Amino acid sequence: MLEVQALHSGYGRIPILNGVSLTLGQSEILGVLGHNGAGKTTLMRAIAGFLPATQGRIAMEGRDLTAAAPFQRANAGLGYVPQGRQIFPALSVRENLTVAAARSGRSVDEILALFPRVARLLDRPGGALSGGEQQLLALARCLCTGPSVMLLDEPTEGIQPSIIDEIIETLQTINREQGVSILLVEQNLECLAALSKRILLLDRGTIVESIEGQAVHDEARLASLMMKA
Amino acid sequence: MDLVLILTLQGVVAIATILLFSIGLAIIFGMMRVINLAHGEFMMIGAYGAVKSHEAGLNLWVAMLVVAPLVAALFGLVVERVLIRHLYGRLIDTLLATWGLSLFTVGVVTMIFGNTTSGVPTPLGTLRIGDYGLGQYNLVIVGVTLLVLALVALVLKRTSAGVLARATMQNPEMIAALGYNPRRIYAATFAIGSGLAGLAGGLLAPLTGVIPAMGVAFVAKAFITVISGGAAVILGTGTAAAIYGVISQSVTYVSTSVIGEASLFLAAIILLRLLPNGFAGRFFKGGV
Amino acid sequence: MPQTFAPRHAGTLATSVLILGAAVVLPQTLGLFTLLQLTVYAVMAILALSLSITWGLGGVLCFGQAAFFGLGGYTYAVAVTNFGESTLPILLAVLVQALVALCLGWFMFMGRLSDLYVGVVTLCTSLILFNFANSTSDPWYRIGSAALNGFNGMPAIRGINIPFLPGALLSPVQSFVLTMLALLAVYLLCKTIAGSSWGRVVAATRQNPLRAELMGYDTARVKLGIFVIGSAVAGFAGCLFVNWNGFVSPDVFGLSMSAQIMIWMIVGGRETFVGPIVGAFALQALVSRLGVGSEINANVVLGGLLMIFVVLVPRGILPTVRDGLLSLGRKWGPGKTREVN
Ligand SMILES: Nc1ncnc2c1ncn2[C@@H]1O[C@H](COP(=O)(O)OP(=O)(O)OP(=O)(O)O)[C@@H](O)[C@H]1O
Ligand SMILES: [Mg+2]
Repeated sequence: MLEVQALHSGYGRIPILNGVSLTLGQSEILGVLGHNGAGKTTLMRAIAGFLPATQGRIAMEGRDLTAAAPFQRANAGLGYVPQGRQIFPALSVRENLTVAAARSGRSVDEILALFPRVARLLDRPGGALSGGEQQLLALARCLCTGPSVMLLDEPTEGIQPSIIDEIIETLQTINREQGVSILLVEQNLECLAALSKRILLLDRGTIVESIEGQAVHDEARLASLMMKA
Repeated sequence: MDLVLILTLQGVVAIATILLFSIGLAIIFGMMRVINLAHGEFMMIGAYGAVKSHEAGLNLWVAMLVVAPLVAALFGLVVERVLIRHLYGRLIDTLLATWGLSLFTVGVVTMIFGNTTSGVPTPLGTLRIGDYGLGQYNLVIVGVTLLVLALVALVLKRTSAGVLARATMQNPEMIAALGYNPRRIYAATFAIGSGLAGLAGGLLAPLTGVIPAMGVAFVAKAFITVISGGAAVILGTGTAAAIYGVISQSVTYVSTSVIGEASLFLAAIILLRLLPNGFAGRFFKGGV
Repeated sequence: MPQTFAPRHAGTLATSVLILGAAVVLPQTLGLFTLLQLTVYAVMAILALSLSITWGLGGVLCFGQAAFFGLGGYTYAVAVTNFGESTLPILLAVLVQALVALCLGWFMFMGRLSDLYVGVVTLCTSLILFNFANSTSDPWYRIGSAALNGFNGMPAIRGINIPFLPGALLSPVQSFVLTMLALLAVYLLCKTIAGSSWGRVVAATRQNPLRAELMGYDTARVKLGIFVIGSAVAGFAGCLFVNWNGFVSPDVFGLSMSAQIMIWMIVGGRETFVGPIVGAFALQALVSRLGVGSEINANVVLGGLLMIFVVLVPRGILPTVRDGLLSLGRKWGPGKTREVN
């Protein structure tokens, strides 16, 4: 689905990513773990097109997107839910969704069926939602664009456990029923283990470990790997 | 009693005029964070469009209401392509470059049409209220301004293009992440804002006379109104126009129009100190 | 990070010698007409330097530099008409502008207005003055024996005399020499400020206000200081302008005045002090060339240049050429390269 090869990127002349390679398979949920400042958000922004790649290649379904503008990547099926959610605060919840669906032609109601909590809040301004509700809205909004790959940057950051469970369930449903592949940046080990069969460890702009199979559930080991990194 | 009525009417006309020549700039600033200091020249181009097409035999109303905005919108499209799009995100540089554009346009138009006043006759007669008179055409300006405002509000609130416009104001990056090309949106916005400037120029042409440098009289006031209004295109700009219109009109009444204009600038200095984010930042957060 | 405004002693010395040499040599080689033209170019170069201080060095976006320039001119005109002697009026032109800038700057910076708003407020100030000066035609508007005359302007203003000798008015040639010396003095003032430790605080405030604040500097006060100095220099330029012109009208406050100053600065290079001087001389010479019987409107040239430079050469001629030469030198030359300033 999504293929990233030896990606280098950064801010201005400051290099942050030093050759990241990863492959996200069809309907896969691939986790990315790394401590604060490891470059996770930078990686997501570079894949989404908001930071230029200084070297390397980004491709989706064989199509080269390395030089494409963010909107072209979005139209190619790359959905991006940024850290901090970035919903439109002064638009109503409904408008937040329709503005995304207007381009893809997807039905807002169908997507709302997956997000009962959001469906109850349609007329509220986006900015008046709680953090958890905003996160669900951001996921729903991204789905409205009809993505085949979703880039999720810390969807559980600062959110209470009951809603985290809801987010995990929703993501599983999306992945299972719509076949959407997900690249999931997370620091919440439980969430990562529940969702992904493979986890990459990012440190100082490079992938230093790939954890697969049962090891994914070994939180103690994951935590110690992160400490060491 | 007549005096009160006529003064009120004059006040309303003053407010409407400020709003009319500021709204295009407000839309461009609100959407794109670009200040177009050549705004007055877009008005001038609209005014010339109206005058010249009227001289060529076109109906005056068509010339003012259709030709003027179209000519200015086309000019806006070209300017966006050639100049503005290199400068997104560089607010101060857009100010400087459009200042250059302003001088440049005045110079070119002077070379083409000469530095003489062309005019169109003011249509309609005078409205008499007791001993006082007011041009009926002034009321047309109020009417058109109200219409434009209502239309802009309707589009922003009710149409999907309007939702997209408001979303772009709030977070242009996210709009790109949803698959829209921000450059297209900006080009369209700039053309619409320019068109509204042209409409203002065309409508005000009968009152001000048309010369290449006519824009100078408007740009500073429009700039100040828009900045004082802040991020809310209609509510913010409307409030600012109301305050400045009333102040300058009252001061003009007790002294001269030149002092009235100076009082507007003084009011702006004080207002901006009190409300550094404009009315929108204080009263209409997230409104339009 | 290229070092801007850094004191390069060789460059400063070369520039100073050049200005001084021009002041001494040109009166002997050029005709009176050319000298008169060069005098006003030099006055405008001082004005350009005043904006270099405020905006280039201090980062205070002043869209109304013409306010201080014009007010300086009017202050001088009114004072010299009343006193019949020019020494005190020159001082007043400078001091009054410093005071006005202190009040206005206090109002703006202590309110922590953003760059854009500082631009708006200074623009408004110059427009208020423009409108006000235009509406003083009534004979009632007089200060002492000086009538302001509204849009007609104040005619026949006394020029500068040798200090405290009212009878000894400067000749045009002497005025030229004086103006060039003033330009040299202001240039050296700029260099001294930029090279001083306070100047480095100013530069730090411009480049990163937040960091300067965290380092414990009161950025509002720093901006206020640089604004006052820049405005005082603009007032000085206004007084020299009236000395040259013998006349002052509300046009000195006009928008096109403020625009020109910015254009000189941007074309010459806003991050140097020589750039604005070069810009002021070169563009005025160009415009006066175009002025006589030309088909091309001066506004087209100035406006066009401004657009082209902002988009394509945002740093201006001098820094671009200098860095070009430096990198060439680094490529071809052995070891240390000569620095151009
Ligand atoms: N706009 C920026 N300009 C310069 N450097 C930046 C910028 N944003 C982030 N950085 C730097 O890039 C590095 C990686 O940041 P990034 O945001 O990718 O980390 P992260 O892994 O997402 O961290 P977190 O877990 O806190 O979200 C950090 O050292 C950060 O300081
Ligand atoms: Mg992050």
